[in-house]
This record gives sequence, C-alpha cells and structure tokens, in this order.
Amino acid sequence: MASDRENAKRSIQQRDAEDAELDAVLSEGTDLKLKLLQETHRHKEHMLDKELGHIGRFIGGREAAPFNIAVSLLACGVIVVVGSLFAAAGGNAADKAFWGEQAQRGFALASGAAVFIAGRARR
Amino acid sequence: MRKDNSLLVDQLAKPNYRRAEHEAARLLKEFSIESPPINPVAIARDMGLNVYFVKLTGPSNGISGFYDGDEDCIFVNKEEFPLRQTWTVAHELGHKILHEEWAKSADYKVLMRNSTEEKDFREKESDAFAANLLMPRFMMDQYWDTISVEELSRLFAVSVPAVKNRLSFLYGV
Repeated sequence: MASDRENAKRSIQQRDAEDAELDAVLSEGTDLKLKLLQETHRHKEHMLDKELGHIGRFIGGREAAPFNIAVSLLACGVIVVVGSLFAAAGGNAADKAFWGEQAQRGFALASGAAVFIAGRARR
Repeated sequence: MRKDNSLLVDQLAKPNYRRAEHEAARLLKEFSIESPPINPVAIARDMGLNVYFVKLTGPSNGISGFYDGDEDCIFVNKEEFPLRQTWTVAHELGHKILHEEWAKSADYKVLMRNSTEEKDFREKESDAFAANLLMPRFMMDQYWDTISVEELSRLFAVSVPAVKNRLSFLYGV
C-alpha cells in the first residue's frame, strides 16, 4: 500500500521554488522590526533629551561633557595667552609683568586642558 | 502485531523537548540569526535542502506539507496561509534534524492542516523545534510585553494561535 507521502507526491500539480505571499509576510515582519527599533531609539533620544536639561544641552551628556568642557578651557587658555602677550607688548614694565603673569596662567589652563584631552584620546 | 506494538511505543514515548530546543538554538547560532522574523525556508536551503511550494489536488489538498527523503526536500502546500507556511517548513525541518531516519521511512506521516489526531512524540518534538526556531525565548523576551499578539504574529511571521501558544508556554499568559 502506498504511503500517504507517496500519495501526496503523486497529487502534486505544480511546484514552485518561491512563494510571493510568504516573501511579502517576511518582509513585512522585517519592516515592523525596523519600525519598532526606530521607535525605541526615538524614545531613548527623548528620554536623554529630558535628562540633559538646558545646561546639559549646551555642554553635552555624561559622556561628552568633560571633553567639551576641556576643549572650551583649552580655547579660553589660548585666547588668554594670545591676548596677554599682545597686551604685554605695548605696555610699560609693570604692565608687562602683570600681563606676563596672566599669559602664564592662561598657558597653565590650556596645557592642563590639552593633557586631559590627550589622556581621553589615548583611552 | 509488530506494527501495533511500535504504534503503542510511539504513543507512550516521551518527547525530548530539551533536545528540540537545543537543536533550534544551535541552528540560530550557526546561521547568526539574532532577530525576527526567522525565515525557515532560507535556513533549510542553507542546510542543503530544497523547499517547494506545491499545488496539491484531491484529498491531499488538506496537507500542510511534508518532508521527502528521496529528494531531500520539504513540500509546502501553496494554498496554506503564509503565516502557517513558516511553521510547516520549521516543523518539517525539525523532522529532518531530529528524526531523519524515521522521516525517510514509510512510517512517516504527512502534516495535515486540521488534524485532530493525537500527536506522537516525534510530532510534539518537531512542534517544539518549530516554536523554538521561529519564536526563540531570547527574542520573545524583547517584545512579548511591549506589543500586541497581532504585532507579534506579524513580527515573527507566524500565526496568531502559534504566538498565543508560545506566550502561554513561556510566560503563562
């Protein structure tokens, strides 16, 4: 007696390697996954935005804030050094001594910030 | 008489669900599948099996699908809902992996669409394999309590009853 598999094989009328409806269902699943992923990211972004507040939005989040502050301090230090040197160039001896001291402070600030940035970059 | 005895043994044998789960997890790992929907047709083809979508006539039209050892392929009824076709392919793939010798023998039974027959241990193991392959626990954990059953069905490309069974088994809901 023929098995039900043999009977089934005999009753095959048409055989296709692909099924368009199944492909559509699988691609719909992938689309939904991407949509859900997008929603999750949007939610995370929204929560992060809420957590940051006004100052956070300006200086960055927990990860980026130290680096951003260091870059700002480096820029300030450089401005102070350059400004003090210009000021020292045109003044008398007392002014030169005063602006020289400010240039040193600016240099200390800029180099401290630069060391911090270099240390972060190496990590 | 001998056939009757083997039928009785089949009915009394306990399904090894752990093995079914392990084999499904192994496949997912082997093919680096980490998110839904899982395409069992692609997995079967990557394993060297052919999958054909067939039009059946007569009483065979009530068949969901079957594995054929001669051609080493899975036949799926074209008229079945696509969300059930994924289950059929995964189920037959389970037979190929878990019970290849039996699946090639004359004792093998084709998968009927609306069967009310008591399933033997191999059918139960293949069902467990299909559930673990198409809706693995680690993927279900990410979505089960955040989206509806209908969305889970669309996301995992399986039928709503299959999702409900899986939710009930995994989370008791």
